[in-house]
Amino acid sequence: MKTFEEDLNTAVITTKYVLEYKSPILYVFHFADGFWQFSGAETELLDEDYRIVSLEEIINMDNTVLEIADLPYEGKANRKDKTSLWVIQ
Amino acid sequence: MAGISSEAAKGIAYSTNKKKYNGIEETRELGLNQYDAELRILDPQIGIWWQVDPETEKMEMWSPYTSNYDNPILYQDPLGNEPECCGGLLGALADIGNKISIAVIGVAVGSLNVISGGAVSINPFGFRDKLRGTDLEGYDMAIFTAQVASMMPVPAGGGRKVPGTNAEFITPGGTSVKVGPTAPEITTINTNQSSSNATGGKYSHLKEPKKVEPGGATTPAQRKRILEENKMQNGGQLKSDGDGRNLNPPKQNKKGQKADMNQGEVDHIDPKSRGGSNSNSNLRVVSKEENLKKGNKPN
Repeated sequence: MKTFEEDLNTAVITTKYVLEYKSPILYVFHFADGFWQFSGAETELLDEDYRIVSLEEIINMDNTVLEIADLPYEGKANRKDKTSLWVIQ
Repeated sequence: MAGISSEAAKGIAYSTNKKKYNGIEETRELGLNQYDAELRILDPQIGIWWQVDPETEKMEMWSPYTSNYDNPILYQDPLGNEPECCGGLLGALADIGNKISIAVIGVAVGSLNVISGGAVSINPFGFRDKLRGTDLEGYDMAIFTAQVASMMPVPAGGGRKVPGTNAEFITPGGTSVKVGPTAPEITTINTNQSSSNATGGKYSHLKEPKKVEPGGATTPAQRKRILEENKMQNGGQLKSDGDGRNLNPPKQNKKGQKADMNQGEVDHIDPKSRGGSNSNSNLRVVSKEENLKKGNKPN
C-alpha cells in the first residue's frame, strides 16, 4: 500500500459535497504548489463550496485515495465511480 | 407664516430638533459649530463643505466644496454627496412621479398590491433611500423583480415580508426595500439556498467564476484565498473544516524551487560520460554553480 509523503495533518482541499453530503471522491489533483484536492463529480463549484480538511480525514473517508498517494506534482487522477480504479492522467 | 419651528415641540417628552438647516443635523457639542451630514461636514459660517464632494463627477462645473449649488432654497443635500432638487413639496412630487411609474408597471403585471403601494406611498423622504440602501439608486432595474416579489412569497432560505407595507423592492443585491408613508424599511433577503446548511457559504464572500469542468480544479490564487480565509476565520491558525484540528500548510513543490547555487554536489573529476570511474579518487565536492559551468569537461 502506498502512503502519502505528506504529514497526515496537511491541509487539503475538498468540497462541501464530499465533506458534508458524502459525495464520492472521483477527482484528485496534486498541484505544483503542493496542494492536494479531492473532489466529487460536482461541477460549477464556487469558492464557498470548497472546504479545507486534513489528509487523514480524506483517508478516513475513503482509503482508496492511498492508491494514488504517489501522484506526481501537477498530476491528476480520476475514476468513473467509487468502485472503479483510479486513472492517472 | 410661522411654520413649525425647531422650538415648537418642546418639553420633557421632546428633544430639540437639531436639523435646523437643509435637513442636516447641527452639532454644538464639544464647542463645535457645524452641520453633520451623512458624508461631509458643512461649515455654517462660510456655507461650504469642509471635505471634497465624494461624487465630484456629478457636478463637474462646480467646486467640490460647494454646497447645494449655492442655492439652499431650491436644493437639499442631507447626505452631503449631491444636491437634489427640489426639497420639500417638489421633492415629494418628484417622488410621486417615481411611484406612479412603478404603479403603471404594476398594472401591466396585474399587481394591485403595488398599485396601491405606488399611489399611496408619497414619500417626502425619498432621498433617504440612499442613506441605508447599498445600491438603491438602481431600483429602476429592480422594479420588475419587485412586482414578482410582492406577489409571491419570499423564497425559502430567509427574509421576511412585513404585512401592511405599501410596496416592496428587491434590489439586484438582494436587499428588500419596503417603502411606506414613513422612511423605508430594509431587510436583507438571503437568496442563497445553500445557507440552510449551517456550515454553508463559509467562503461565500470570495468571488470566483464558476468552474464548469468536472472535479473543479482550483486555481493557485483561489487556493491561496481559501487558505487565507480559513486562517482568518480561525484566528490565524489553519484548521480543518471537518473535525477542526490544526493543519499544516501543504509543502511547496521542490521542483519549482530555485536551485541553490552554493549547494554542494559530488562531481566526477573525469566525467562519467567520458568513462570516468565512480571511485573515490575520481570524486570531489564542488558547488552546484561550478559543476554546471564545468559541464562534462574534465576538470
